[in-house]
Amino acid sequence: MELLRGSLQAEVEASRDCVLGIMDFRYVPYALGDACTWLTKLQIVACESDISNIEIMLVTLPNRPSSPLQPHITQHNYAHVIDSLLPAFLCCETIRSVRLFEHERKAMHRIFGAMLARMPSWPSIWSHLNMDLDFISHKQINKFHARNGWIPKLSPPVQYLAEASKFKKIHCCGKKPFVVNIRQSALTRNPAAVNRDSPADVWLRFFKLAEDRWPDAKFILVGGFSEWDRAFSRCSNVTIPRLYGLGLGHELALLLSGTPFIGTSSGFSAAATFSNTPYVITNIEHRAAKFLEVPIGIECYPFGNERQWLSWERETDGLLEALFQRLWDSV
Amino acid sequence: MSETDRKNSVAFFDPVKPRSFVVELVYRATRMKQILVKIWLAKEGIGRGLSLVFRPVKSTLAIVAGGLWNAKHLSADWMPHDTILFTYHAEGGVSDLTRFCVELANVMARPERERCNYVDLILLADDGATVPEYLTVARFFGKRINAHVGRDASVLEKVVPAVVPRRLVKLALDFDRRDSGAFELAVGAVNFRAPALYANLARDFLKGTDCRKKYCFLCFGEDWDIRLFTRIETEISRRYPEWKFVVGSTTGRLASLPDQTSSALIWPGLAGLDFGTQIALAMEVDAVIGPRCIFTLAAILGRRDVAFVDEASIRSQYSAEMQNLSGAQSAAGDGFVVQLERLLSGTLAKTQEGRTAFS
Repeated sequence: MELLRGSLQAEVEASRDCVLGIMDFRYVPYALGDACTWLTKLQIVACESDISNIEIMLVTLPNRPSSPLQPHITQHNYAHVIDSLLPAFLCCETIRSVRLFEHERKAMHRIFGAMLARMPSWPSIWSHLNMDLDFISHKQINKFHARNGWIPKLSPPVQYLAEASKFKKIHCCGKKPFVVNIRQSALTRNPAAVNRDSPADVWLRFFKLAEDRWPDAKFILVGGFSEWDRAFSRCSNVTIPRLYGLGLGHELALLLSGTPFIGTSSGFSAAATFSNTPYVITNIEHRAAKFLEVPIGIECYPFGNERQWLSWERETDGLLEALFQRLWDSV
Repeated sequence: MSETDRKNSVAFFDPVKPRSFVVELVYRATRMKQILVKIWLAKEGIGRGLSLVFRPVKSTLAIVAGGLWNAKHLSADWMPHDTILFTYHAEGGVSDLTRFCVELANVMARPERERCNYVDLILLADDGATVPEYLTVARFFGKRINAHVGRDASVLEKVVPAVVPRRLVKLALDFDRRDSGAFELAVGAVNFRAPALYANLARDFLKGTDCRKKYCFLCFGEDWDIRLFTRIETEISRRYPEWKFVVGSTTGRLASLPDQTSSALIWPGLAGLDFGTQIALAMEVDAVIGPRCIFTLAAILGRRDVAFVDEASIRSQYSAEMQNLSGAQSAAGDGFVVQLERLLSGTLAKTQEGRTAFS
């Protein structure tokens, strides 16, 4: 009983008026899209609990750093992966604190405190005990939207805003910036679901076409450094933030601060999905319709606005031209 | 067809005819395999079913036991024996990140801390502080990290009592205790090493360029005039052909890229090296020159040859608005070149182990 009055009592006190987000990488993949979906669902739990403060708890235990979905992430490289992904967890303005646990005993202490305080959390404590998290579907989000007519949105990570806007100012030279992400997992060291990749040659022809057709457009190519073809770096209307040492935080700051987005269905498109940024998402996998709870071919998510469109087809020259024209006209 | 032939052909297709020994063996082995697979699947199913039933029980027990065990550790008057406590107010910017690294190095340098595997990092982060960079720097000390980051002190006032023993709460929340003057670094007493992936990427980058060359990391302010490099290229690289120069900045980011690259000057940004890998690069090269920042600090802690230059004086000499100033001032800027030459020729005084002023 003495133990319960010490640090555990403090843990319970710290849990008051706060919602806990548990991201335990023992059973959740390290992925930008999943992190954005998770963050939105966490905000929904906060809204439903009528609580405005969020605490994020990231658990990366060295003896079991990743889920079976990502066997290439081991105790020797997980630190690099989590450091790279961390900015994604800062995209919410109601976050009160972020806590990273690599010590199992301390992580358990935090969760025990949350259990004692009956703290609302995402996933629920019961789901966490089952190591079961729905990190893909839009079920809870659609349900919340159907009830309330809106969903909580992601916000740009404040730490990166100044540098991101400086980058935009220097490199866009008065032109209209568009954030672009072309999924090219096949080019990475650990290719995954390469059937969702976009054809690079079509995008390259699109950039060439855009030089004449939309000379005032500047494309900011975001995403992993290995995920783009070298030819993109030679396009005069394309700029790549990672060449200048900028990272995921800066790219998310650019995207979530309202720079229109066009790109493949992937991590960045998930970030755009849960924002007010105008976007066109291309090449959505038909299989995903089941998880997104929308019919195949639908042009907009139920919670999307009038400047946010979906395309379910693989990119072609004509399709990209038409989609971008619509985005251009809208912004 | 003769009678004998007909009999033979019927016998060949007759399913009742006993099979040869080999065929029978194969048949039985196949059947046995099917039965074994069925048994295995049943076992798997049972195992999975049991696991699904017992997983919550197992997890609950782990949480309760782990939580109580940790609470027991925190009920003492000191930090758990495997953990170092470090508190910092992160304000953002080059000098603050450097100060963070120096202070953490000094805490790590205490001999009794060597056997600690974990560091409890309590960060009060201002809006300008890019928290992931602070964590990346902390990883270079080879400890596992438990980070507790809050954007205002009132939040951490609630979090900290659950993280440290009661007696240390006040100390852990004292974010303003550091003095604003010079800060010293304990060189040689701390294990500062790049995590494997960062170090490997940095080494591969240098080996991919030319594994036989020596490399000097030139660390510049983000907004310095890129034309300065022309001088290095024309004067220095010709005198020291065995050296190549890696161009980085104090923030790890560059405002612009060169129109053209040369064989002497290498731009890690063009290879997409991230912040952590650039720090590892500063530790992997043979020499580093630049103002006091995280890269020169990493080089010192990594026992590399380092030459410091005064950021303000170099900027005033080479920045675009000062280009048209008198030749006398321009000559004063030769200090940088002189310092670089001393570094390359090995005549620069080496950093000694012990305490070194770093401000």
